[in-house]
Amino acid sequence: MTTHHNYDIYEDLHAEKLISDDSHQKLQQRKTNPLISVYWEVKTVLYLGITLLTGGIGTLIYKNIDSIGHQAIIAFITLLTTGCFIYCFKHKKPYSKARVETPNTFFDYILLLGTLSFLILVGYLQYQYNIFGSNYGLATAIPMVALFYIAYDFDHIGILNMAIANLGVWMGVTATPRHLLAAGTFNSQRIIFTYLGFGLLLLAAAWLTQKLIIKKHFKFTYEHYGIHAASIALLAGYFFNYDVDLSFLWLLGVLGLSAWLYFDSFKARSYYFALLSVLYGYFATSCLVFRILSMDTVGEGILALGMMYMTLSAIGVIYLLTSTYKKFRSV
Amino acid sequence: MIIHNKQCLKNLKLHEQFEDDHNAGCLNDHELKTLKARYYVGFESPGIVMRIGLFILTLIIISFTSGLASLILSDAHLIDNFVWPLILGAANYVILEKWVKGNYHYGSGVDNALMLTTAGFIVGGFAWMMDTIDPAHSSFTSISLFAFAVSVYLTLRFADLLMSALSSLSLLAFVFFAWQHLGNFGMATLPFILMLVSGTVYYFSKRVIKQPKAFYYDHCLQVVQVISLLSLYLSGNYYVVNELSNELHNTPDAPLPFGFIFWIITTLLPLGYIAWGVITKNTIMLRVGLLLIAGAVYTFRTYYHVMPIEVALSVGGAVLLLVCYAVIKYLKTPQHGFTTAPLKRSSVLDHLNVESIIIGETFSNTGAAPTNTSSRFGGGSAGGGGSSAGY
Repeated sequence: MTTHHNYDIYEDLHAEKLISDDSHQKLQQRKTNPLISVYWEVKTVLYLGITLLTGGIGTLIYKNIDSIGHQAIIAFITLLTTGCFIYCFKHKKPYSKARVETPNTFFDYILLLGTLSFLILVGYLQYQYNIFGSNYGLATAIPMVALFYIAYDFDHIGILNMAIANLGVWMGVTATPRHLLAAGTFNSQRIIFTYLGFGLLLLAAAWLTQKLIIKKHFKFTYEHYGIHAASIALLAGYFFNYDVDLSFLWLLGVLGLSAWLYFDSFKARSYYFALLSVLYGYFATSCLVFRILSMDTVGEGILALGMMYMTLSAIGVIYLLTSTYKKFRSV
Repeated sequence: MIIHNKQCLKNLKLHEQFEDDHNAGCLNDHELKTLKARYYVGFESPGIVMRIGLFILTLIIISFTSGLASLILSDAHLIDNFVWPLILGAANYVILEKWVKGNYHYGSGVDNALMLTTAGFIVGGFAWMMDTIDPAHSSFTSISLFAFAVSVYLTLRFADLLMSALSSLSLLAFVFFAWQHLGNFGMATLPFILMLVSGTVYYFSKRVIKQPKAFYYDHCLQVVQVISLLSLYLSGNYYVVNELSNELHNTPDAPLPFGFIFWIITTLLPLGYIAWGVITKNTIMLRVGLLLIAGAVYTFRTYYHVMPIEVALSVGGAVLLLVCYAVIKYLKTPQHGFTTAPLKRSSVLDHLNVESIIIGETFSNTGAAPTNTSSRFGGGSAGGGGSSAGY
């Protein structure tokens, strides 16, 4: 309910036949008996509970690894995992290529709890018994495959996010944008190419969701991680190879990617990606401009020229963004 | 007083109402569309993503143009005194007025940024002026009072949320600094006077919000309510009061006199908020109460270590899950006007999958953490390199 909810206006609108009888009746009902939904509150608290519980159990095991019996720990986590998954398989709806609505609010979080405790279990087994030996590829591949399976079978985008992050771990990179920027590990050509490959792989996955019509609503997640990883890798490649003559090719890569993303965002009508493409493209262009400005030919006025460039280009970007936004709205 | 077109604002409020009824399932998609088309809103108020983008770009433009102007004038020593920021502030304000009037911007990011820089330049210039006139007595009291006046004016003129938040914060700052001047008595009663002011502000915003005069300001007043509820709690919170009194008295680690009063406030006020929120069906109070439970737990754990942190986390998490389970079961059919049924909303939150991204951010490292020992790191990237060569 808004603060100044005006139900009287609906009487006229109903008389004008702008509101159906059915809706009018529902509105009357809402007027006499308003309902407040605590859907988001409950979801937030559920999420918090699971964060605390899995974090607590993880630390508990880590700290008491010598005093509690290993069998006891394994038994407990296995019990928790199987319990959660039994519940989920019992209540799950059959797999479909389209979106599957969750059976109830609680379900998603039980699934999340089960997945997290499964990951704790695998990690613990590796730590204690070295079940995968020194084969780290396998040790990270198994949770990854399991996560992708769970994400698709139960249609859980949150777990898909974790699966993508795990794919990154398996390939030897961190995946989430925050870690991407915070870690700053772009110190070798190979890592940059790994990141680029990771990003392009995700973009391909995003494209395939639409092409093959499998879980079309997963596209956002793939594209979100893909575009950040690929663009940041390309920019890192430019700065890493700054002294090479052809380093501007990396920036052209960013521009090409941005242009593709910009036009692709119209198809999905996702303004978020249009904005991202403009901002990454703008950053790459600015890098190029400042490179040219710093080439000594300009001399004294470089500071003023740089400031003028920033002001004018920002105005241009605003213009581009608003006109794009209008196009989005009119589609 | 308000700069925006009143008819457009009225229609905007109607749009909010239609959307709210649509979310509640009372209007279907087609009806929502026709009704929205019938009541035209000419404002430029884009979605949140666009707003943030425009906000940042406008800040870039403002900083570089004022930087450029300062650069040009710096040789003539025209920018060495407090008049310069005041001039910049005035210029910003003129542009803001013209822009909002000419382009019908309301919460577009551009106007938010301009408002922020206007207030920043003017208040900064004022502070500089106070410092120039009387460096010995340039006090935070006058500066916060001036900031309060500026932000209240901008709130009334533009009905802006950020400015209403700044108004209440600067009022609290003013009371905080002014009351300190009363010496020992002021110091001892500081938490209580802040609580009193917060409570009064909350009470009045609650009274005023239903008035027809406040029709355009309901969101501003809601922001004020949230802030005053938070400050009411924080000014009575044991941790905050203890730290602050030690800081102001220069007595580190001294226990707080009459500490039990603050303990009562710390632990019972959030529960009181939740209970009162449920009874009066006040979602703002309910949400703030839920948030402050975390504050109460944190405060308690800072001083008393009843059990190790990991046990506390596990038990707390399990309790939260059970409570949620019980609430969901209990509200399966709506009770006392509450339901857990999802709103029929395709909001920005859903659109951007914010929830799933948060899950990805928080849990993405739990998976491989145990194998990720220091020796693993080198091996890991090598393994990664190998696998990347494979595809």
